[in-house]
Amino acid sequence: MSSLSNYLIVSAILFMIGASGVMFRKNVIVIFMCVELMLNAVNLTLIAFSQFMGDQSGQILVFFVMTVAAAEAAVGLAIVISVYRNKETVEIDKLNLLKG
Amino acid sequence: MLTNYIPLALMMMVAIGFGVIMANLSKWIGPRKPSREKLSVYESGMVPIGTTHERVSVKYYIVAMLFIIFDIEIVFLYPWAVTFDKIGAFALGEMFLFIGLLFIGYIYVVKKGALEWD
Amino acid sequence: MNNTDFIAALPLIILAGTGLLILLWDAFEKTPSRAPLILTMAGAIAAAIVAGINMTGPASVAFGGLLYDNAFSNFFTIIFSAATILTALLAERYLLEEEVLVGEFCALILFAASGMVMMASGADMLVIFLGLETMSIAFYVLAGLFRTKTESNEAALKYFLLGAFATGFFLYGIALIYGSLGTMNLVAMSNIHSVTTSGPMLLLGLILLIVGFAFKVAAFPFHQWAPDVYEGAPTVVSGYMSTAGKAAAFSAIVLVFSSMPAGALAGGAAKIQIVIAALAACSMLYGNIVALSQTKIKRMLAYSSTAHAGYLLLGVAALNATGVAAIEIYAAVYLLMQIAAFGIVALLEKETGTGLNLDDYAGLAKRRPWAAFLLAIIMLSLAGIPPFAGFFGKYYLFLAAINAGLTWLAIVGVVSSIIASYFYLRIIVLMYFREPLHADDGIAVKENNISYIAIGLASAALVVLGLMPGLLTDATGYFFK
Repeated sequence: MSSLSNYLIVSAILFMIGASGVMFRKNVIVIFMCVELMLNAVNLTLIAFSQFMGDQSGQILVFFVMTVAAAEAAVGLAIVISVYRNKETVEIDKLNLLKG
Repeated sequence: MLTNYIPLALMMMVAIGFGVIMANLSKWIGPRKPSREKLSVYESGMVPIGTTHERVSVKYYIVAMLFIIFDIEIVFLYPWAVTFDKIGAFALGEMFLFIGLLFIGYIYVVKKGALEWD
Repeated sequence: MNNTDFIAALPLIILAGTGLLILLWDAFEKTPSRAPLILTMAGAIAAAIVAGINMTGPASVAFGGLLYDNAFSNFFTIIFSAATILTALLAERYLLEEEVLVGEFCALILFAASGMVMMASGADMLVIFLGLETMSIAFYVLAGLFRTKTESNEAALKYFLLGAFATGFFLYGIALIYGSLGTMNLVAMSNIHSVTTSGPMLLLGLILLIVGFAFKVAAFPFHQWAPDVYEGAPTVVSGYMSTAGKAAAFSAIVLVFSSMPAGALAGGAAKIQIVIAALAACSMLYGNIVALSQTKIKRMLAYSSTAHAGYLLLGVAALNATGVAAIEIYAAVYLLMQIAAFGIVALLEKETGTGLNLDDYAGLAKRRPWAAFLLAIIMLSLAGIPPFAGFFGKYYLFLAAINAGLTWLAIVGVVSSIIASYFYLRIIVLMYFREPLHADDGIAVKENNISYIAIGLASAALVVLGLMPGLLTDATGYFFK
């Protein structure tokens, strides 16, 4: 069927899409979704390795990544809400109070 | 070299063409008799209320956040449940400890009033 | 789990357990008080004592290869506990004055500390990742602790987005290392004798790990978030995350790098060393040169923290026994210096958020002789002037670099230290030889003895450790020849 490298290539592409999204998008929520995409791309890599090597620890790490991502999502949403309450915007360009 | 990809390209073209044609076929050949009733927003037979761009209360997000956190912890119950008969009472104790820790978080959430809607 | 496992994990259990206890207390107690701060200190002291006892015992690996219990992990546990204690002491005035949630603050710094302990004692990359995230998520919240201040919100958002981005790289690095070595366990990894899988993937994994890690420690060129975040975050929190957080990241990277099986990288090891050495050199030079032009003290400290990350990277680039010990020593010394420096800034910060410009420190010696005196000690130590502890920390790092054949890097380090001494000494000149710019006493807050005690303790430690560096070098468990 499909070889390990197929999975790795797909996850690398997903990771790059996520990373470029973080760098080029303006909306905080979209940036945040791109970060989640990056984490899930890594999950795919981990599961592929785990499956092809017959080793369980990769899949266990995926469980932890999922929970950590959920915790991060909760904290991130909370921060976004508190920013929105004060600034009425979630565009990253408009958050420019801190400058050197 | 590149000629190897011709079948692939052909298949792509067929796949895309098939998709586009199928998706639009009913629009092209179907009869169209629009009426006021048919053009209105479909909301499972109800009369639509308000606009679609209504702002959701911030309380909704707080509940959603808490739901995500507590919901995802279930993932740790699956491997435990699968191997439960092999690891026995000790793991049962560990799982109670884990759920106990989550429960502390739940007490905190309830006491802080994060789940009170009003 | 048997008894030895339990004892090995006891500092971690104490820190996290105290945090949970404070959360429960906070849920039921409505009136703000000092109780959570006292509990935090008690928990951190207990964790440090247990780690100190564990340190004297034999080294072992607990939980079937998940947690190290050795001199390295316990040393870092002690310094993280020390950072937690200092932060709790400094936070007392700051929190009660700014009316922040004291209980949440204490629980979060304890959770962050338990994450750091996991990073420093993780014998499996899973544990290290979990520790990193426990620490980072606590920091995201701490940075945004002042919910109504826009600066604090912005700092939290920036830190969160870049931190989560860096986590992605860190995790991808872990995944690729796992794929190429076939295990995530550091003990198993270091026991691999023949590596069959491809080298490039391992190399790429390590590079991605370094990128994620460089973000976390704010090393050049991934430092842009640091000045903004340290400026916007509550000052005591900035002190905590720029020191303990960095020390934890360094402990984790040392653990991973020193577990790489010999010969796994073949020619790649030299490339990795060059990459880290370049990061170190750029961080030292860039951080110090940009810090020269800063007019706000928190931003100046942020840029100087990038430079200090560069000094610590020198030890990672060397990656020999001297380098590891030097990282331990400098992490401890830097932690004392930087937390105390941020502590003074917090002490002199006005409730309106002003009093943070360098000009506000002009003539400080006349108005507040003690604060000026302590800040002078800290600045001299940060500049690396003997006999303060900062000097010995830097000395061992440069020694490690020279031992590893990186003499050019040590020279860059010395040159950048000379550049740095300009802006550190400038503060002393401002405080002692200038008249105050503002007629109305630019900095006005009520005296706070607890903050002075904390800063005084840290400064005294800097002097004592500077005069008797043997205290620290013995504790690292390595010997200097």
